[in-house]
Amino acid sequence: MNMSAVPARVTKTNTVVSFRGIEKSYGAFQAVAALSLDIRQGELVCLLGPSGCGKTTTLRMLAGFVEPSAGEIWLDEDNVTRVPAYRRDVGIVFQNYALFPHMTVAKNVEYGLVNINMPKAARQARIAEVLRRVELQHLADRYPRALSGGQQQRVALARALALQPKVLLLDEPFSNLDAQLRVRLREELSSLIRGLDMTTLFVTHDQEEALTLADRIVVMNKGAVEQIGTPEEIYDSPQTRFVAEFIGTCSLLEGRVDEGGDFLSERGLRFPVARRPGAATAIIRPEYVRHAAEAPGAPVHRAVVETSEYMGAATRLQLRVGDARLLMDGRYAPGRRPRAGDEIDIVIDPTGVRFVTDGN
Amino acid sequence: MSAVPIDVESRPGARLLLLLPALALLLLFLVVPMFSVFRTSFFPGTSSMGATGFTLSQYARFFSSTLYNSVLLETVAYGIIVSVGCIVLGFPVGYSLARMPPAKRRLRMILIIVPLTLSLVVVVFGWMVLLGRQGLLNNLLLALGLIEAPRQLLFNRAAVLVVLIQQFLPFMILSIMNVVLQIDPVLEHASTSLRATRLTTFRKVVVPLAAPGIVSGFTLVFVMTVSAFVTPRLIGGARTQMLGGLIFDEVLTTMNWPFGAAMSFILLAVGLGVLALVNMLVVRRITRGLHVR
Amino acid sequence: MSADLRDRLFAALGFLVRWTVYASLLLPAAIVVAASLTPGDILRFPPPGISLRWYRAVWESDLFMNSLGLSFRLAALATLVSLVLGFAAAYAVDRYRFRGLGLVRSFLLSPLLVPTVVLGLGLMQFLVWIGLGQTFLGLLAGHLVITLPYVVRTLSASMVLFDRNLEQAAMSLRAPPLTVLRTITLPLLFPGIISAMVFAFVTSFGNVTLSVFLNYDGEVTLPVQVLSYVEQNYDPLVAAVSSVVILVTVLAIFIADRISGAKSVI
Repeated sequence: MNMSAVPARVTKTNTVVSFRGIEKSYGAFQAVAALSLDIRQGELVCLLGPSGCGKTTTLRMLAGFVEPSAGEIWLDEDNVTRVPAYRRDVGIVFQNYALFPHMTVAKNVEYGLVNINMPKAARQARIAEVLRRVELQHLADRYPRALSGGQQQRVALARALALQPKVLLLDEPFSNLDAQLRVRLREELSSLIRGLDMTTLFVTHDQEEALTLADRIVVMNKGAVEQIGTPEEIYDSPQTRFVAEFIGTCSLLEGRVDEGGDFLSERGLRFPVARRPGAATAIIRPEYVRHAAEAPGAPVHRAVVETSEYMGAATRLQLRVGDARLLMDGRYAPGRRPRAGDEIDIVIDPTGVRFVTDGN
Repeated sequence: MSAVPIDVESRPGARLLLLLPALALLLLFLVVPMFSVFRTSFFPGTSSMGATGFTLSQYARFFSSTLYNSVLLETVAYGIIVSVGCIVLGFPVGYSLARMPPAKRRLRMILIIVPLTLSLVVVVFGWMVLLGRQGLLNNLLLALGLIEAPRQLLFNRAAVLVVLIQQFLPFMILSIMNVVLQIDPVLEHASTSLRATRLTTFRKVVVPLAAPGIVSGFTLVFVMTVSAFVTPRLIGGARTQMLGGLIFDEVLTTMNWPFGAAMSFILLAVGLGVLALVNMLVVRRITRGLHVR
Repeated sequence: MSADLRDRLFAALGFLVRWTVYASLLLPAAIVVAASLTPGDILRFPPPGISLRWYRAVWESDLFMNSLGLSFRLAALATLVSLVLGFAAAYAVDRYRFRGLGLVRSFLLSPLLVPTVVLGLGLMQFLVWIGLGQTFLGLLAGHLVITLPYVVRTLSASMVLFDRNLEQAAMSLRAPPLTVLRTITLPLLFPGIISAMVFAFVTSFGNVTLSVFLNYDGEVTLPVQVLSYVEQNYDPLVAAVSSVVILVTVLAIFIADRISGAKSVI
């Protein structure tokens, strides 16, 4: 696999997958509510959310395993809402890979090709090609149980790609792998998919996976879409309280913006912001809280360190400012870390303050 | 594109179609016959052919006879002794099988399954040869000088009990093995690490957790024992009467179907009654506080 | 320490019980086979020598050979039919969630808990009533009732272990439902199917308690023939016949073990 040259992305506009007002309910339980999403050719979109948020159901509706209760799903020019799974141009890699245990690697890959009646010679060529692409030619005659987890995943991927589907679905693709392997396979998978310009929708509950892999992230909660955006947008400008809290870490302050342009939290913390007056919920990422000495000019707050948690590169401090609580990430030379009970002077970087709507 | 429903789960028609043949078979050849036996038990007279009317006289006849009452009592006693015997002998085997590596278990499983599936008459016949006047046991006792002449070892209650227990042991063993397989061995290690002896661990951890399997094994063995008629007939001879044998004679020899039917239902009712009692007394006590799935 | 001693006694007792049980389970069958090899006219154990004369006698006995043929036909048919009915039912119970599911499942297994004397009388009466009294069809119906629960139970157990993602994976690889069934579901359930068939076959083949009620036209199954023969006679012929039954049973179980065992490694 070519891991160095990730081709520059060309923004394409043609939509491959289109969810139009999709809903799914089981009796009174609403699994997915009013989901609309367009996925462009070559785009890598991630459905992110806690378990039970409806992301897997959404994936399965696109695969054709679950029928939506309302709405339409379009694949290219076709409305596939009622088209059975076996007539959709969709490839899927399951969380447990779902390799056929009674077939060799080559037979697994060949399975779909037989189903579309591809002639034998062409099949052999295609099998060789995709196995080469995932670097598994040498294991073609092995049975799945003789493969490692990472190899099994690549077989599953090869099997799905052999049919050259319009869209590739990945269901929690890395959750069965250990941490080391996960990072490496993530890079490999990403360069492979991008090399093929494959439109991909994947599901995960792991924000790091979503942030590193996806072109766009769809954050879901309780069946509803909370926010759709690029990883930067999702992290830097969360629109809802849920997104802010689910992705990354932040301090959440309820309060209001007064006529003078200051945010005043319910618990008495005050700092200037650029926002019109009214009730507001502010979020502050820990990296935007700094020592007063590092940013002269801004209003200084005296804070008491409640806990100090060493995390390697940074140290996370939980601070109390008056009655308000703030999280702060600082970097300190060995032996210089603040300890619980210390008092420090801090400033809040106004460019790092965001406001969210209160989801609930 | 055709409109094939893609959600198989949402097709009640398919479900019904798949279930219908099996359900129809059982309805026709299990439920209806049972009902007809029930109805027959209320006919007066000694034949169900062209019989009409409704009377409890068959039941009255049964319960007013001391002979029948004592046979009924004896049958239930057999049921309980055989079931308990199977538990006592079957538990060590079922438990050890469950805790064995699968490769080692395999041959022993065949040892359990072959007797389970072997025809009852063959097993009973084997015991007849074993216990007969010219049989292994008599020859052994003679050779050891323990007896001077061959003795009749068949045709007594003890022989019937031994043979019934041997017959039904595999059911109990499998039932216990299956439930022990679901008990995490870590629980036993935990108990031992808490200074419990093996005996205490067994009493306080293994037995309560295995209770569902023991009870389902008991249920099966009890039902099979009270309705047994081949074994008491061949091993017990005329001296051992069990209800199953009486029904068999009444139905196939005397051809008195209404009385046979009444006895069948008494057998069924007593069997279910004892089982309900066991469930109430044992299951509640042992599994109190346990969430059995 | 007395607790330690008690534990050791307990372990020793367990060992003793286990091997007594294994021995006693095998004993009757072993005795029958050994006794059948006697060259003499009297059934005795141990036999005074070894000969196959009683097997020849079985071969020449119309009484037993006819019954053997009937038992084979009956068991084969009961196996096939109950496999089809049982597979469909087990599949539905496994795949669909609906109200009354537990009830249906219990109902399918209920024949195991009905005393066979009761079922026998009921069937005998009912079959006469619908005009199937003393017919092969009636006998078959009775056997289906007792083989079905074994099929449903065995198949259900193997279906529970089946990974449904495999079918969805196949479907996403363009396989229509029947292809999925043929290439994925059935091959992977094959060991379970074989086990179910063997159980059904040996259950039907060896059954005596129900069959005695359902004889037809003077033809009886082999176990019933053995039963009525043993009630009158006591000779090595019946030992040889019983050995044939034992052989068939052991063979069936052995085949099932080979097939299911090899595949269950997956």
